[in-house]
Amino acid sequence: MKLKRFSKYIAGPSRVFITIVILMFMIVLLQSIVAQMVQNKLYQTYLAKTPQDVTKGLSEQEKKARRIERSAKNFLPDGTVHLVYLPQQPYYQRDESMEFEIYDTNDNLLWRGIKKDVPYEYLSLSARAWNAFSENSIKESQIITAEFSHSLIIPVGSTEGVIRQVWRYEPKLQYFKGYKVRGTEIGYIGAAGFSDKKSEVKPLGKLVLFSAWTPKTSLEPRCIWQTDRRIYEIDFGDRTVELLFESPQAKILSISMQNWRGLESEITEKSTIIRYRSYIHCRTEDQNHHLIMCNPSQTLTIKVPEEWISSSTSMAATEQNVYVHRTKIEGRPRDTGDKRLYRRLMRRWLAETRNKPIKFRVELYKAKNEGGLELVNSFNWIRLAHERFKVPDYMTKSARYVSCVSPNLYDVVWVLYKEKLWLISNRFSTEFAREYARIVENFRPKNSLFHWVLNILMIAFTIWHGWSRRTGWGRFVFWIVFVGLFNLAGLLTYLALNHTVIIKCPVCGRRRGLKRTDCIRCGSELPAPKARKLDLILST
Amino acid sequence: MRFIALFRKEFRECLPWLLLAGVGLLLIFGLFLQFRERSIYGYIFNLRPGSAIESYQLGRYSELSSIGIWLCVISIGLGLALGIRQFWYGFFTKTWGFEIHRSVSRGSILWVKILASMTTFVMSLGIIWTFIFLYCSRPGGLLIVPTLRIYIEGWIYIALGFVIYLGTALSGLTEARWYTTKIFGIAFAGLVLLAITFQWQIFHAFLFVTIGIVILLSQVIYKFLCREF
Repeated sequence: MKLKRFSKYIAGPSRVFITIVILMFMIVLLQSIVAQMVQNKLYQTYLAKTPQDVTKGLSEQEKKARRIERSAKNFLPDGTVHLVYLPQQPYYQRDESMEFEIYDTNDNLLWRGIKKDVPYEYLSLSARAWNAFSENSIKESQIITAEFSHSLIIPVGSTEGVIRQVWRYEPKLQYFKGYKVRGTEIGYIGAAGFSDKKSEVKPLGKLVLFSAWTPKTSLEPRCIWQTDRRIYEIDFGDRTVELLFESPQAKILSISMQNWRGLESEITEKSTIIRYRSYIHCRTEDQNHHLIMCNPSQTLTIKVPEEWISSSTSMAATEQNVYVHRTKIEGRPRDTGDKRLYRRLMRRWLAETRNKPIKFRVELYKAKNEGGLELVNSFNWIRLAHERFKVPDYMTKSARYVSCVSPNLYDVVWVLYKEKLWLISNRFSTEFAREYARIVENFRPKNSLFHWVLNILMIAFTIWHGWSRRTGWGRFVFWIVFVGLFNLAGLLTYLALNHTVIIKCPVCGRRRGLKRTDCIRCGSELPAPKARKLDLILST
Repeated sequence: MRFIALFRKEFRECLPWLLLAGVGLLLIFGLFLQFRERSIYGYIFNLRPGSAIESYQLGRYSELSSIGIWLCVISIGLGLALGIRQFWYGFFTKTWGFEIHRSVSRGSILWVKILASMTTFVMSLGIIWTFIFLYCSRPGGLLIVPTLRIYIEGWIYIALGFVIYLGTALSGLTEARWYTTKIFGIAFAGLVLLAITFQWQIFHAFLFVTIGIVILLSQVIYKFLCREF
């Protein structure tokens, strides 16, 4: 009996919980389907009405501005700016035979032809390794699927192409563990290098980014391993770890590379006029840009002005000079360190500049030997209101139609945790949290009038339905508040769990539910059947 | 004695499913061992000298992943089978009355059923999964030794089967119609399954499974003790 009483207290709330969770899930599923269908329909209607050639209605001046906007702004080593324009083609139609047009800053056509015949050699800037493995990739690889989670595995092959050993990254312990193929353990690779004893291995630190490649002569991979304060180069063939850079004071924000890995695709193989050095460009939180160069080893630190905080900055190191390239966007808010404020300002700026022209500027600086930067050249242009942004935001529009039945609770959660939810929905958190944040963001009722009208109607229905079925004031008020908070899902839960037959009370004549033996209005008991002759015998 | 006798009766009813699941998993492991040389091709990394290694090439499933799918499917199947056998079958054959009206409390009957199904899960899947993992973890067993995390994930799949079992039991015990709230027990277990596939932290996965078990178990206990058969 104890168990029965105990389970009653948990079973009641858990029953409500199960029902509301399932109904909310089903409603969100339906909302997503309907919103997507409405969006597609609206977009098809828009496409049918809009001419396909977006440049049709543009003046000559606008066409020129659009071409400038879409051109790559390339610098020659002497600072001359060229606008390299490739007429727009779908990616699947792009090939080597496509013609480039090169203009000077006064819009004079300098050259036209295919890519391999371009007579100019522009400065090539350091680029982020796009094939890199990030902290998020590690998390994504650990998601529990039906096939178990992944592991980050670095294979080491012989020159014949046979895999000899593998190194597996242990995310919790932050080091690599090596195995011979079908054999025993080899040892560990950590911050202090190779070790065959677990007790001696030191963690590399929390992974931020890593990029692996194979040298020209072997299949023994190397990698650049970036943590928030250090950059290592790991050679899995030789089992060595070299600390390339350490920033104890400020966190490393980003790294990009040029020529470091010695890959065929990299610039040294192709450039004939400009001789590049091999380097890693590293940007730290204190607004310092570090160039870690090799052959000979050298580290150069360049401090940029504070107003550059929100600009995109990249570098090029040739054998003669070090260049700093900056792209500035007019009016873009600065990240002063207060992340919450920055996010708020960015969101406001994005909303304000949507469908409006924005001023851009590129600058090329030369690093002076005595320190400091010397402006070599710059170029300004205006990005016209992008046609992508001229397309009405149909997703928001269609979500508005269906969000009228969403729980009010979404709005409450949004008001309380707005910043956090925005952050989660735009970054990798646990996947579950991200999906929930996106649902709240997309389908919250946003205080629309229609939503409130529906909500009030549902509450009114609950009061009407529950009045005659009520068993106590506490329960009655609970369900009204519940429907108010969860809207349609709340109403369906209420109906699912409170379906009681009602009868007309034989004493007061008003409607009453059968969950209580006495009438909630007049207090009279349910009518008992008339006593029969055998009742006395049967009851004993 | 009564409890043990009841347990033996329940366990005897679970035995065909225990054997089916256990033999099925062992058979799949046998096939895996037979054809595992093929799975090595999954480990060819397409390395070329002097080239960048694409990151997607480096995130690799364990070789045991092919068993993982089956472990998950068998566990879910076993959960459904045991749930139906223990809590639905009596309604089809109208034998609930014989089962309930004994000189033992309803609580004991319920605990025996749950204990028998737990034993079935542990014996048919848990022990065999542990054996498979240990066999593959010895040096030379697989191309790359599986991690302990894989072993724990296997147990999460087995626990998921138990969640499905409780969901099926709850659906069986609910008096509502199948197209209304009767299906909610299985649906909730399905949602727990879905939530697990979003997790990358073992602790969160265990948390979801535990919450699912507590919620469903409390409902099953209440329904079993209170409903009329």
